Amino acid sequence: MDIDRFSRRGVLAGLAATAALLPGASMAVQQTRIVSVGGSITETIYFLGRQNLLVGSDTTSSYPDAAKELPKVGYMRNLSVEGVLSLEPTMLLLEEGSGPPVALDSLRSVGLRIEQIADAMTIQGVLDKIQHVAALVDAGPEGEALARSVRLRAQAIGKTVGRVKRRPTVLFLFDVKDGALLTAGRNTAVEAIVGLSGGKLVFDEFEGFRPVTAEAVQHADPDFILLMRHVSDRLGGAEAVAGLPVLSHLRAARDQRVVDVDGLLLLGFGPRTPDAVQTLARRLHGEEAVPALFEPLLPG
Amino acid sequence: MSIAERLPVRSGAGKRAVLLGSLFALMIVAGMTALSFGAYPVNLAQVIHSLLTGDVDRAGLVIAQVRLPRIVFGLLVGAALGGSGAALQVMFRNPLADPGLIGISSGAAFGAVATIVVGGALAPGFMAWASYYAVPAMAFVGATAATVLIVAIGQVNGRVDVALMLLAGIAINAIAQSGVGAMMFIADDQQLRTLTFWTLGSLAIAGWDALPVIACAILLPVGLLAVKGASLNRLLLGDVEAAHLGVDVRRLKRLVVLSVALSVGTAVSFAGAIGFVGLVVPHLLRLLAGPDNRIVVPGSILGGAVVMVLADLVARTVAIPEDIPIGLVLGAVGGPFFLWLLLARKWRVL
Repeated sequence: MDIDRFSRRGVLAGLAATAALLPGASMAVQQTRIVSVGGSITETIYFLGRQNLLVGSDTTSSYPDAAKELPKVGYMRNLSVEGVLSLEPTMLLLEEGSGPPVALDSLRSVGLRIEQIADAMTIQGVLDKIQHVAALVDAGPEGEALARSVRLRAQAIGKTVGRVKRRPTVLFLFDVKDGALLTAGRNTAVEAIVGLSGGKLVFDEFEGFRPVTAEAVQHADPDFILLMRHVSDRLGGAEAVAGLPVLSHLRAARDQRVVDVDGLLLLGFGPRTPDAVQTLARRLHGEEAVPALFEPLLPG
Repeated sequence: MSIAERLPVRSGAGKRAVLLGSLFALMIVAGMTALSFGAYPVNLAQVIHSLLTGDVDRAGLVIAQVRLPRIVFGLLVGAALGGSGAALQVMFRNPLADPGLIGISSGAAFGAVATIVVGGALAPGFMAWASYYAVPAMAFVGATAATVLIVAIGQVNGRVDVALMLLAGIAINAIAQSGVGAMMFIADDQQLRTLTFWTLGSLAIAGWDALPVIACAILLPVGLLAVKGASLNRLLLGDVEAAHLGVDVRRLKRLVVLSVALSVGTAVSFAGAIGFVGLVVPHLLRLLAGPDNRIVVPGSILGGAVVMVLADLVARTVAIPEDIPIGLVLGAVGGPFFLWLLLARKWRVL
């Protein structure tokens, strides 16, 4: 089966190459047109000042506001083949895990250039991601500058966080369904960002995302409850979250230590990750222990 | 209205030819319409010209590699669901019968969900080799296993006991669904999203490499059902009556079950859980043409294909450049349309 598919792709790539040589098709080759899939990649392109190359993105691309106005080709794991092609892109930039694989194979079979960008869960990963995207959008110097700025900011906040002794425990609330709480464990972006901010996850017995019972949460008794802003908005805001029956008896809920942060900022691992660390660290350790070191990074 | 309330009425060969002929024409028109519209704007005449002359541009590739296989796949899936639904409703003498009753949907769902969640851990070699066909392949295994089990339990002395089979189906469905639940419980976030999209159904997986197999596995059983209309008419009168009228009831029931299992099993495995068509299209045919199964069964096959391709056309074009789930379209457009048809009948507008 694999061999069949491979040869089919070969034939089609040949056809596509022939098509590109035709006089009528040359117009599309002149300018780079990018469909960017994955919030942190889209955001990075804006920070590099190459947003004029973007012709579309996916539904996870929510920053900056202008990115929301781009035509959307679906959720990053459920891309529409014709939807992508209708935007006449010359290159498709994908965050790791985008798909479905069958759609990517179809897109390759019509000769579209597809570039995958590795996921990041460390500051070094973010820097690599920036350099990779910068190379692809022909923004080498801008990429150097952005990476340098991100590195300096990360070092500054890292130093401050390193001085804090106590490491508060955090319960991440991915979602609440039917009274069960979906939370994050080891090897997740949540663990990474909480770790960078000088906290630790209250559940570290398991990997990935798992439902936990209200009793287990009571027993674990976290210092903070962390959730993404769109989840908190859906539940009626941070105060309403603290009032949820499954949470209201917790120490963290009684003392209103419920933190909501924009999902893409918190878990995207893009150029704004030092900002996310600063925001989260100031909530976890107090504004005295962690003073505001820098203004939020803005594109342009 | 139940099917049994209406005695089978023989309809003339002329009426049959006209109805099925126009349905076939409608299917061709629907297929061509679906081929002409999509997110990627194309001029169909130009594309056909470019495909024939050999200098293929991107529009040609989109039509040939993306849109056409999807439409062919949609026609096949619709035909399988429509034809199987019609035959099962007759066999069970129950207007609510659908392929889910003999375990196909839940068996396929368990196979698919288990592959998504634990496939990579248990059989990494198979997952890598089968790539994105791993899920449909295992869904088919699940559907077949569930159906074989239910049919085996439902057989008494070599005869299909429909009531026993129905109850066995309920038990097997419950078991399969708890298996699905267990898999969802241990799934991680990414796997949960993948299996949500599977349960919503989509025609996007079709590629030319899989279509020949799908076509064989659907057209052969569906074709067998289509020519059994007269026997199914007699079966509606009752098992004994049908036997007196010269029908080999045992063979007919076995044929129906196996045909449904093979065709719907294939369709559901590749397209995900797509409901509605198998239940509603046969009733649509009965409302329009009466209960004669020599029209209803082949008509449901053609009608199912038409409905499926048109629903997918809406799913592909209503939110360009996004695809919306086809199950959403079938429910949102098909449901009210069917309701209108029922009410029109009731108030005798039609």
